[in-house]
Amino acid sequence: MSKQIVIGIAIVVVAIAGVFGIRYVRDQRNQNAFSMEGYVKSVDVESQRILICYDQELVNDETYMGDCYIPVEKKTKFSDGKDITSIHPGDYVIVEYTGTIQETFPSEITETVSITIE
Amino acid sequence: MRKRKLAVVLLSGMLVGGMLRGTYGTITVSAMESENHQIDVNLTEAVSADVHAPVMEDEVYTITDATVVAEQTEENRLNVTVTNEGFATIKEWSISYEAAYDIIGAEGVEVLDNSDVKTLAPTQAVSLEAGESYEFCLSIAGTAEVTSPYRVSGVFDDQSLTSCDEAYVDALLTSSDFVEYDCETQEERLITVNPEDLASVDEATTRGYNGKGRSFLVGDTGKDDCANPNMIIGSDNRTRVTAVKSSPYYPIGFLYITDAKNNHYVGTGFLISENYMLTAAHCVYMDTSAAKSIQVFFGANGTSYGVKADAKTLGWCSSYPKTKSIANDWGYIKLNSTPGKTCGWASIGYTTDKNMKAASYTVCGYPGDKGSYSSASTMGHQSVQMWKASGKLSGVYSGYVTYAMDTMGGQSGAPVYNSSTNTVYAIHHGVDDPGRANGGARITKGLYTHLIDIGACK
Repeated sequence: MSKQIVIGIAIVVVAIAGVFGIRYVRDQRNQNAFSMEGYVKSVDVESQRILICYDQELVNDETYMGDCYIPVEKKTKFSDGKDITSIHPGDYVIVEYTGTIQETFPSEITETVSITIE
Repeated sequence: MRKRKLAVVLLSGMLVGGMLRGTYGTITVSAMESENHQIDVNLTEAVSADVHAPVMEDEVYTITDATVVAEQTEENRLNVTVTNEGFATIKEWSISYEAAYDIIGAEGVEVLDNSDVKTLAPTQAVSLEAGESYEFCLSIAGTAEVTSPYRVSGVFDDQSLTSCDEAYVDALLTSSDFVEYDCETQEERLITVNPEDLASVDEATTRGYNGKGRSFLVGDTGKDDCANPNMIIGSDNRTRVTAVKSSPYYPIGFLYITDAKNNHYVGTGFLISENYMLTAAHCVYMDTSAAKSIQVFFGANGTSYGVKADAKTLGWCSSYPKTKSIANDWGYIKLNSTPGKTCGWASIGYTTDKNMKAASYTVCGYPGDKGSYSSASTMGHQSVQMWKASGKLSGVYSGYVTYAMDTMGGQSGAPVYNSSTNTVYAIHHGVDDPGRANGGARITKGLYTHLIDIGACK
């Protein structure tokens, strides 16, 4: 009987530790997130990514390749419950990201945490 | 007027008017007499403009709205007079930047799509010996935007200026006050111009005007630039490579990549044998599928693209698309020809952590913030520049390395090589820790062996 109690307590402890542990990791990740800002040049709903320009003047320049692709993932949070269909060319967005930046030109971030549309 | 083409030079040196946006520098201009009394102006030597502006070596601009009088006064001597209408007034010569060759013979000013409007000073007659050169200042206006901390804008009307450096400083001093914008605190503050700090274009550019790499004119908030995800760590320590056809640069290729959806990217790679090159996985596998096509150019500089090859077969670390980890970010390209016979190829190697930490390295490639890139589907619209940065590694890990050497988008796949031996030990990936570290996939024993096994190198 006492053995079962010990096992039960251990399970609860592990579960609690797991929950708080995950939360801690998430907090850490958000604390380590970086942000970039720019003007949306194009939105590719099919590929679930947007392309931004750092310079507003280049948004409508069809010959400009753009500066950075922002992948929109399932876990990516949007401001005010919006989604990728809420984003339009010319919008100013603030992107929080983790991971790395692949330095092709245009570059591409590897993990998008959140997108705020201003 | 002799029909035969004579290499001559023209132009007086003073920039006497025009709006200045961007920058300018000292370039040597030679002119060649062509048909129809037109002069093809060949910008043969960009001295300092390369830091700022898309003034590339070997670019040819054709001035079509000028009156050209070329008279051979004696053997081997040609008097060339180039004037535009209203010589004494400020006037813009609109010159196609990307397609200069196409407007030969056109009448009047013609600005083609995707062109930059360049403001040239009205010129005066110069009498020169054949082959002799003369320096002058060129200002550039238009959309070929400066990406350095400097943004100069102002009316240039001091005809007493006698040198480009002097003109540059004058522009800084007379245009308006500068504002420093701190990206972290979001504060703006006026900063004092110290002429001594701006004694030369090179010095001013290299140092960074405010010592922090960011300074902006009043009215230009600079806030947009803060969106740049800090690929430049501290001040920009990159230097341009113009000797692109010499060792160890010749085997470093400019990649013009088209993905399955016809989006275009710029990247870098390097030859490891006659027909194989290494690059980053994400240069050959874009988004969710392999690249549709990759054109590679070795010895590319400006609109001179050097040796061209096309990708025939692509390979990449299979786990990269899922993991996106730096350590897995390597790929290779088998080419449809053997440019290595002309360009040579790089040695690759692997070594111990201790040896890796002890050496100095260079990362060299084609950054997207330099030159002039276009989403047009042909390479004819690209104007490319090779840049490099050197330094120690800040981190050495089992599968990747980190460093503070400055890079930009476009340098993915660039070699990270020992500055003394030129042996490549890593492949540039991109930003690992924004503002602090860039990183690349380390060439491990496993990768090295794999490349030998597939016949990519010996």
